[in-house]
Amino acid sequence: MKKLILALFTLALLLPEAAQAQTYPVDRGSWIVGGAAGLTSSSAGDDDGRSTSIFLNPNAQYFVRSGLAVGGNVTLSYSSQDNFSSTSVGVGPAVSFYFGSGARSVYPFVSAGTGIASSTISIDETIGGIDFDRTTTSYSFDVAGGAVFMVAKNVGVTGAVFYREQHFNLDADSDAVEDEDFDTNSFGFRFGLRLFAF
Amino acid sequence: MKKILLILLTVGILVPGSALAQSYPVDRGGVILGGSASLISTDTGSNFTDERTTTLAINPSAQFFVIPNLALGGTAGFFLSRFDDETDAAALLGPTLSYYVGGPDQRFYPFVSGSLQFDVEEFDDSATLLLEGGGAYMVARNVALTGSLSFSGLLDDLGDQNIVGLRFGVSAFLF
Repeated sequence: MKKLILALFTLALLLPEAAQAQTYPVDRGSWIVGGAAGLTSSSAGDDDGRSTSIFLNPNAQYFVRSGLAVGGNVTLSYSSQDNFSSTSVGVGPAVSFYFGSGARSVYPFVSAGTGIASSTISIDETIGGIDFDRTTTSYSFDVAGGAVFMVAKNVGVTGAVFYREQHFNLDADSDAVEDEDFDTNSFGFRFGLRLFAF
Repeated sequence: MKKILLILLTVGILVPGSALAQSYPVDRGGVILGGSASLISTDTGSNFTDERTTTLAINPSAQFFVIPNLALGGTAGFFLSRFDDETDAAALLGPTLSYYVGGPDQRFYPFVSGSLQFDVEEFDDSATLLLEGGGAYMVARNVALTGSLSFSGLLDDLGDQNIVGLRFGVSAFLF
């Protein structure tokens, strides 16, 4: 944990310096940064127990050459209340290619990413005589294509179409409950902001 | 729907223009921009139905610096989900007021912020008051890493709730 905090702190300090050497958003050495982290403690008025949750979900991509960015995201989360707890861990490498060089107002792009995640739900009591511990492992693959419209030097509004395949394995951790496997697929449009540090 | 598209188009056209007149992130006329939108169709892999789930989610947020350091804006949200002839919808809306300390030639801007948010769902309406204090550290001209301590109180049809939190993220400052 100390190493992770140190790495994030170092990244935060280095970003402004590294960011000064590039002349446009998708130049070699630029970063795409995003994500969030938080710690919350909540209490309901009619309940004595507090719910605590912590999550860390940074994502970043680094332009190894003009237009080509590699990186990914990490997901860590934990929440608990009374005798219930849930833990999730995930990692997903990704690669993107942005078309065009130099300062432009629009950068078309294509991207692909994979992910593996594991979530465990535990309840410290038996339900119908069965211990309730359940782990879900998921594997995903997605591809996307779209464009970034720059609205400021470092900020782009993105629009993209995407397709995602996911495979889930539910491990009930009990002989009395069957494991399950299933697949899902999704497609659609997504819009958002993309922040370029350069 | 046409009005929403017109407003979004107007903001999209005006934001880059208004962003040219400011000299630092919290100067008058600057904008803090956030949010996302998506339209997704998912095959859930169920053995019992071939139906797909379709979800529409829109949650833009923006604040505008009406004078140096003082930003006024808000958050809006709309969520729609349809599966097997059943539709769920939820909406939220609320104002936000923020004050950032500092001027030009700074990388770190401490801030305090307050917001009110109203959520409307079919069976459960709620209101949330969020108070927040923290700092924004500029890692590029328009990009800041933010950290804050927050307290929020939720008034809900199903019971009240209070949340104390520490959160970190990234913010976009257009100027």
